[in-house]
Amino acid sequence: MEDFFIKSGDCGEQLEGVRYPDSVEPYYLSVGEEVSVFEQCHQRSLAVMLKGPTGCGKTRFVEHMAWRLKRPLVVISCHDDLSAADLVGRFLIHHNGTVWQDGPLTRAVRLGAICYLDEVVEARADAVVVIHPLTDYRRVLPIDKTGELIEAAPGFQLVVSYNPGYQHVSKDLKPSTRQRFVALDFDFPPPEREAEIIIHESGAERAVVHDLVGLAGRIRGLANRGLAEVPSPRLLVATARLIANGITPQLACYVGLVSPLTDDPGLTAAMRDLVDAIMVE
Amino acid sequence: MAEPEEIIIDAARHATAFISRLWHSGDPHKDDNPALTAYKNRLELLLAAVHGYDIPVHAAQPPASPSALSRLFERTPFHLMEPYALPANDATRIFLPMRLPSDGPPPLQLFRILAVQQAARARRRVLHTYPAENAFPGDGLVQDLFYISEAIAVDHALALELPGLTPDLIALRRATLPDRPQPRLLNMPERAIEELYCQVLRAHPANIPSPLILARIPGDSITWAIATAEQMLAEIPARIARKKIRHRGIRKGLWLGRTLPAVAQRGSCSIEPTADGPDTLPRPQRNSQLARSPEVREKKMDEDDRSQGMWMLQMDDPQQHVEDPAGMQRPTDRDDNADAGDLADSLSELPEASLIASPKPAQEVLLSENPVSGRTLLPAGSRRTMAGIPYPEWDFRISGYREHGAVVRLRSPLLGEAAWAESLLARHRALLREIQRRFEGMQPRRIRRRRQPDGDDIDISAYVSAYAEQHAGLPLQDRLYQTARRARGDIAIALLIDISASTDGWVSNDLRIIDVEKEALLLVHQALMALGDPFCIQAFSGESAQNVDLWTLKDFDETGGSLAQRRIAALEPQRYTRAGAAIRHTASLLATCAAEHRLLILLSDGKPNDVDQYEGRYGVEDMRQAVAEAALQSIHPFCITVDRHAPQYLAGIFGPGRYAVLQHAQLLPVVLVDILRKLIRA
Ligand SMILES: Nc1ncnc2c1ncn2[C@@H]1O[C@H](COP(=O)(O)OP(=O)(O)OP(=O)(O)O)[C@@H](O)[C@H]1O
Ligand SMILES: [Mg+2]
Repeated sequence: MEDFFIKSGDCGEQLEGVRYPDSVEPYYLSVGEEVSVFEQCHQRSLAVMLKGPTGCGKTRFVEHMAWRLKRPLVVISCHDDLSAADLVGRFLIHHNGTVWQDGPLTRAVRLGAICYLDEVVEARADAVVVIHPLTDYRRVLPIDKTGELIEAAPGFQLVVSYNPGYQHVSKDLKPSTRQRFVALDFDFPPPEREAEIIIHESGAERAVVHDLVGLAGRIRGLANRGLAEVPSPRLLVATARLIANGITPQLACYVGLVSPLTDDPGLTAAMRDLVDAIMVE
Repeated sequence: MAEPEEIIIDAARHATAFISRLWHSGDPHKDDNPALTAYKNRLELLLAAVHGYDIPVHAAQPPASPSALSRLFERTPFHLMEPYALPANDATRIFLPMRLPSDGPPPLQLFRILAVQQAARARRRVLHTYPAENAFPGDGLVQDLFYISEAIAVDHALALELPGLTPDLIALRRATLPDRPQPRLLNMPERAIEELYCQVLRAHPANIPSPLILARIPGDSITWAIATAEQMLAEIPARIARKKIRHRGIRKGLWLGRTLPAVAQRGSCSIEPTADGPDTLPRPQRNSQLARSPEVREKKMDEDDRSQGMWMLQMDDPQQHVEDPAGMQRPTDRDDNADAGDLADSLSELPEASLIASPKPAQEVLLSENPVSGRTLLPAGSRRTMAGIPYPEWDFRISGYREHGAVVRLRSPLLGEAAWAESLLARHRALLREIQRRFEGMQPRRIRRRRQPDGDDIDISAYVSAYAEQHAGLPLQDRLYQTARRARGDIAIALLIDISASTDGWVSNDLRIIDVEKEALLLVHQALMALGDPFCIQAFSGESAQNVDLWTLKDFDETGGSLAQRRIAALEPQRYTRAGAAIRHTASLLATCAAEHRLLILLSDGKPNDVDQYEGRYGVEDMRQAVAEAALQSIHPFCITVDRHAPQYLAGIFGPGRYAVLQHAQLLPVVLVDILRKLIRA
C-alpha cells in the first residue's frame, strides 16, 4: 500500500529513506480542516504535531500532504533507543578512513523534505532536543561531530505524531518541545466517513462495512470497561479486507478485530457475543 | 441470592488477565450446568457494548418458599405459580436466574438472549417511564397484556438491531412453550391471554401476530391492552361473567419474566426520627446470612411510615433496613436480644418488604450479597461507604481458591504533622545524605560499550589499533564502534507495610514497632526519591474478610514528597493482618507498571492473622499463594520482618533468600535501606 513512493538509492542502510511524490495520490479522506491548516503551516514553515490514537490516518495524512505539496517525505519511526546519532548521522569506517553519513533528519534538512517523526515521545530526550533549533526562527541543524551548521532548505517541514494517553506517564513531551508545534487533533472519523474509508481501502461491500462500523462503535464503548485498545480504522480496514476476500464476516471479526485487541478471556467472549449478535451472513 | 463467585469475576478486572485465569482455573466445584456467575462478567460487557452504558447483571431471586407464598398469595393456584427464579429488570439492573433448566437451549445462548432481552426492556423503561404498578385498572389483566405487548415490541427491535441473535430469540420462545399451563385449568380471561401468549411464542420475532400490535411507545401498549382486556371480558358469555370470574394472573415464564418497580420510582425511603440521637453507644452487631433478600415493595399510601421494623444492612451499602411487609410485627423484631439467625430465616421467606432507612446503627446485620439499591440517607462518613475490590483467597484445605475471598477497601490516608518528618530528617541528616548519595549513584546511567560491531560513535582506540594491525598485514577488525546503553532497566517498587495492632508493641523504652516502621519508611522514601524510579508505599490492616483496609501513602505517579511524609507521620497501629489480599492488590498495581523489574517489599511484624479462620496454617498458606501469584507475574517479592519466630514460616512463604529477619527492630531503617540497595543492584 505504501509502495507508491520511490525509495532513494542509499548506501544500503536500514534507515528510512526519502520518498518522492508519485503520480498516484495517496488516498486520504479529510474529516475537518486539517488539510488547509497543514498547507498554511507548510507555507509558513511551522512545525506540526499530529495527535491522535493509533491507526486513525496520521501517517496517511502526512503522505497525502507530501504528495499534495509536492515535497519529498522522510519518515522516521521513533523508539526508546533512538539516539541523536540515529537522526543526525555518524561516522562510518571505510577501508581507508572514515566517512560521515547523514542521518535521515539531516538528509531531509538538506533536501527541503517533509520530515515525519512517528511516535516522537518514544524517542530519548537527548534525541528529541536536536530538533529544537530546526523549529526556531533559525531553522538550522548543528552537527557537533563535523562542526557543520546546516540551514534547512526551503520546503523543509517538521511533522511529529504522538498518541496521547498511550504511553506511560513518565513519557511525555517536555513543554519546551511541545510548544514548538502547531497541533492537529486526529480521532476516529464519524461513522459514515469511516465506512467510506473502509470501503475504499478494502473493496468490501457497503452493507457489511456498515455493520462493521456499527460493531466497532459498540466495541469502542468498552474502552473504560477494561478494554485497553479500541479498534482503529486500520483494524477495520484489515478486517474488511478479509471479508472482501471471502472469509465469513463472523470469522473475519474474530480474527481481525476481536483477537488483536485483547487477551482477556472475558472481554474476548463478550466481544465475540457482540459479533455474533451483529454480523450475519 | 448471588453466589459468591460473583465477587471473583469482578476482581478479575483489577488483576492481570494472566492471574485471573489462574484464579479461575482448576475450580474444584465446577459442574456441568454452569451458573450465571460463569457468564456475569461477559454478559455485563456485552450489555455495556450494546447499550453504551453499564447495566449490572444480578442473580434473580428464587421464588419465595411456599409457606410464605401461601400466606401472602393464597389465591394463586399451583399451575400459575412460578417454579423457578424468573429473569427480571428494574429499569437499571437486570436479574437472571442463577441456573437455567438443563433441557432447554445451551446455557450460554439462553443467558445471553435473556440478558439482551431484559436489558433492552430496561432501556425502553429508561427512555419511556412505565406506569406504576398500582396505576393499572382491574385485576391485572390489563397489566399482563401491557407487558406482553411491550415484550414483543422489544423482541421486534432486537430482531432488527441484533439480527445475529434472532435464532436464539426463536429458540427461547420455543423452549418456553412446553411449560405453559394446560388451558383446561384456566378460566375464561386467563385462557384468552394464555392463547395470546402461546401465539407469540410460536411466532417469529420479526412478525407481530394479530391481534397484537407493534407498540412504538409504551403508551401504544396501554391503549391496546385496555381495549383488548375489555374485548376479552366482553367475550365471556353472560352466564359465566355473572359469577365474577377473576383473572388470577399468567404464568410469566422465562420469556416474559418480571418487571420490577423502577428504582427511581421507589418513594418509600424515609428517615425515622430517633429518640436517643445519633451518638448513642454502638451496640455489637449480630451477623447472619440471608438466603434471599426480600424484594422492595412500593409502599401504599395508607401505610404507617413510623412503624418500627427490623433492619437489614448491606455489606457495601449505606445502612438501610427492611420493614416487615404486611406490618406483621413479630416480637423478635423489637427484641434487642433476638437471635440474628432466626431473623434472617424469617426475613428471607418474605417475598417483599419496603425499604426504610434509619440514622440509628443497625441492630441486626443480615448479610445479603445482592446489593440494595437506593440512595444513602445517612450522614456522610459512615464507615462502610467505601467501595471494595474483592480478591479470592487460597484455602489449603480444598487446594483451591475460596470464592468468598477478601475485600480490599481503599481508604484515604490521614495527614500527620509535617514537623514529625522534619525533625526526624534533621536528626538523621548525616545518614540521609549518605543514603541519598548512594541511591543517586544507582540511577539508571548510560554506560559506554566499546568495541561494538556498530554504534553511534567510532571507538577511536579500537580503530587506531585496528588500523595499525591492518598495516601490519592482519585482517581488518570489525568491532570498531562504541555505543552508550542504559546500565539497567527501570525498577518499579512497591512497599507494603503491615500496621496491624501488634505494631503497637514496644521495642525499646520509647519506641514502638510502628515508630520504627515509620522512621524506616521515611528514610526509604527519601532514598527512593533520589533513585528516581517509580515506587509506591502502601499500608494495610483491617478486620475480617470484608474489610482489608489499604492506605496509599505514596502513589506511583506522585512526585512531591511532603504529602507522603505527612501520611507516613499519621500512621497508627490498626487491627489485623490479612496479608494475602493486600499482597494481591499491590501486585496487581505493580503488574501494570511499565518497568523492566518489579519489586514488592513487605514489611511485617508477624504471622498473618484475622478475626476469622485467617490464622495459623490457613493464613500462612494464603499468603504463600499470594506471593507465588506475584512471582508468576514477574514481580520479585521480598519480606522484611521483625518477628523473630519468622524463619519457621517465612522460608515457606517467600523461599530462601527472599526474606530478612531483624534481630533488633531498631535497626530497621538502616537495614531496609541497605536491603533495597542490594535488591536494586541485583
Ligand atoms: N482519513 C483517512 N483517509 C484514508 N485512509 C484512512 C483514514 N484514516 C484511516 N485510514 C486508514 O487507516 C490506515 C491506518 O492509518 P495510518 O497508518 O495513517 O494511521 P496512524 O494514525 O499513522 O497510526 P499510528 O499512530 O499507529 O502510526 C490507513 O492505512 C488507511 O487505510
Ligand atoms: Mg502512523
